[in-house]
Amino acid sequence: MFKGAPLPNNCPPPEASEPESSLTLFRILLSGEINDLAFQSYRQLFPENKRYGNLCIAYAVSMFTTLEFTFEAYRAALQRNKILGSHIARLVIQPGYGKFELNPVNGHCSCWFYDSCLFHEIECLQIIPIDENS
Amino acid sequence: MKIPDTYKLNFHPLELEVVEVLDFQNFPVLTVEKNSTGFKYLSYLVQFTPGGHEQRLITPLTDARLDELKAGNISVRSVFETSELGQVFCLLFDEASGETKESWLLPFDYFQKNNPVPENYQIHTAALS
Repeated sequence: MFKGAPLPNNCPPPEASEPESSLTLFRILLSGEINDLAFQSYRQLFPENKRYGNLCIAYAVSMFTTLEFTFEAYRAALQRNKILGSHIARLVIQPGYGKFELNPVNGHCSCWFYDSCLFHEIECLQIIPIDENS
Repeated sequence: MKIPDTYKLNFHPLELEVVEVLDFQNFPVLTVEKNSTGFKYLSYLVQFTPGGHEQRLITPLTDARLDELKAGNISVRSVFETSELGQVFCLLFDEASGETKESWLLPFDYFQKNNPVPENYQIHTAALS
């Protein structure tokens, strides 16, 4: 049912839900392309990592509610020597795409997408190149 | 965080299982981990190092202290600064496998002068899962 299945027990957590209407979320992209590679979860990136294999959130895709929160996460990763990508996509997420858990404090949204969601069909409103000096 | 070789251990004293993620943004930043006897540790991602490694600071903490942290009564930085057993470890994990590659036990005075956890770093309790 969910991409990356089988997921751990009770994953996604009960706090995650389908949005009631479409919402705009931001995703840092490895390149300027909207494809499956742009939506890999931590688990998909590191499938053999035994430390995080049982953690539900490792199966989620990180997205953010605002451009500012997205840049903040990008910069925080950069300070840790991790370049998350080169572009930021502003995307329209429809209710049937999956289950989402939002943290309003830092704008982070954990997204567990349904198998039926085709990433290349997600409506993209804007792709913004990341300027590391900005 | 560059650590003098004199603090490096020639064995890996901690065999930990990640049991909870307190902060995750594209990767696990702050986690709660436990050893085989059930004792808990707080684990903070300092940085990624060349070769695909995670450098993490790890210190033991009790359930009471973890509750205080989650409630926002103490900061992440202070959990390390005032480690209950006076122990702060630094471990290097392979990002691909999760295996421990290096371990250091940091002398307390050294750690106090080199604590890399930002003072304003707060956990976002709304994201607990």
